[in-house]
Amino acid sequence: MNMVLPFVDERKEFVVGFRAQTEWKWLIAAAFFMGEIGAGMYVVSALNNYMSGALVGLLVVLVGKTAAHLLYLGRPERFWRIFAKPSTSWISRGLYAMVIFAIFGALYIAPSFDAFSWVPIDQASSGGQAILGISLLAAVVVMIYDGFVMSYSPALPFWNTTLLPVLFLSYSLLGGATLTLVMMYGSSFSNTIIQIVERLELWLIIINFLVIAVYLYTQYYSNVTARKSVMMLLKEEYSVPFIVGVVIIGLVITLIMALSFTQARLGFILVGLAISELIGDFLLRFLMLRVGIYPPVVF
Amino acid sequence: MVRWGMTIDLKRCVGCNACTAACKAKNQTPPGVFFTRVLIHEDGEYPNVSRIFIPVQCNHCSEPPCVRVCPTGASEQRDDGIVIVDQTKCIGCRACYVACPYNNRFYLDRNFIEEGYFPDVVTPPEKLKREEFPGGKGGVVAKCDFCYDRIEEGRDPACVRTCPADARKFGDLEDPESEVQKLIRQRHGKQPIPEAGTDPSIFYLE
Repeated sequence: MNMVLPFVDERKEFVVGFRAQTEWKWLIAAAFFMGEIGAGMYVVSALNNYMSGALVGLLVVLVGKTAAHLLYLGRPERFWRIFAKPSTSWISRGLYAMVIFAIFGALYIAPSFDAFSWVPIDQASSGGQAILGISLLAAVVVMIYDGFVMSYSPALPFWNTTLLPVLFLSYSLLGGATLTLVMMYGSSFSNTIIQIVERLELWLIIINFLVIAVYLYTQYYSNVTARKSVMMLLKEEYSVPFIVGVVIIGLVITLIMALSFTQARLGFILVGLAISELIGDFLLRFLMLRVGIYPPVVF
Repeated sequence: MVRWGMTIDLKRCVGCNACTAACKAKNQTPPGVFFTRVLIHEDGEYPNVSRIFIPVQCNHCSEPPCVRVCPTGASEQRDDGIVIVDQTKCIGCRACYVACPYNNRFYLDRNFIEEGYFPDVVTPPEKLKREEFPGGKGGVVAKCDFCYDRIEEGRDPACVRTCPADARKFGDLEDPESEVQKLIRQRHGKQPIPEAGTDPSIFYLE
């Protein structure tokens, strides 16, 4: 059979061809985005002992991600059933991780705020450090489980790689570091800590660039369907949002802004950095969903 | 143990979509939802052109990714290999829909009950079927269930029974003497997208 097959975007068309994944779109991208940058922000802030940042990160996950997911579900009133199958389902595992993250994250940061100073936890004690460790571990699972949700099935070859959770992890940390930097700057935080986060930001931009390049390279050479997805990102319908949005705005301009910020600590540079990074961060997730392609049924 | 399966003879299929219509009549699915349908592939260039019809539906895989990814246990595999969706448990997350390599699952909108094939009217058969629908008002995933209610009565699935070209055969894949097993052996039956590693229960004969 001739392998020059059409791309079928419309499900109702009864023809053989590559078919786009059409169910998970912007609402799922928004849920992934908020869950990952929120958890990333918690990790970066908590490790730098910046509790206001950790609180915002926690809230972004619990309010933003949860709301986006509930809005998407066909039957949100049955959401509790997600707890049923952690043995095989990454969605189920992710919900458990979110609950553990919420409980241990809240316990760890609570004593830092006057309203909750009665919480009997000493953050510096071994018990406090254990709570921090569990919350960080759960936050990392929240950052990567979306990648496993997507990569777990062989249905969409472009997603079916272990590099996807790695890509989401590095993007989560970058988003988290960016938002932490913005909050730290706004609250006149210690200069030394800001420098550490700045350096982390610079390294993460470079790491993200490398991970994307390796992802596209390996997927281009993996199979015909994954190659089609790569071509959609680089040359076909999504090339403009990918190259302009994810690569130029999300990485190149973010890198230039981050380097400029190290030279001159100006608020508008930081705002520009945050906007460009978040645009790239969201677009990456959205475009990953849009270029999910099913292989054609051919014999 | 029985493992229900099907063979589809691509040389016999004439692309009449009688299976599509029979499935529609049996399940009264709303517009845009086809538990089975016939895909067309045109191959070659004028004047040497050929047209191939490929009927597709849920493959009732023995290693179904849809069952693995379902967070609620709504997608499940029966002992006879049939993969079903328990719509009373489904939350409409569509993880199974996305995870199916064959793209053969469908999402029923929350307003699907009011959606008929004719404008502003839901016909009595549509109404009857939707009143029986276990998913209630919708917001859940649905798909081919191999007409297990008919199988339990000793009858073939509606698509098999109705095929005028006799392209579809249904039977027990575990029984070496069954017609489907003999056809698979004699005609080297092929499973769709074998690289997905799902071991479908539908075999195509060329």
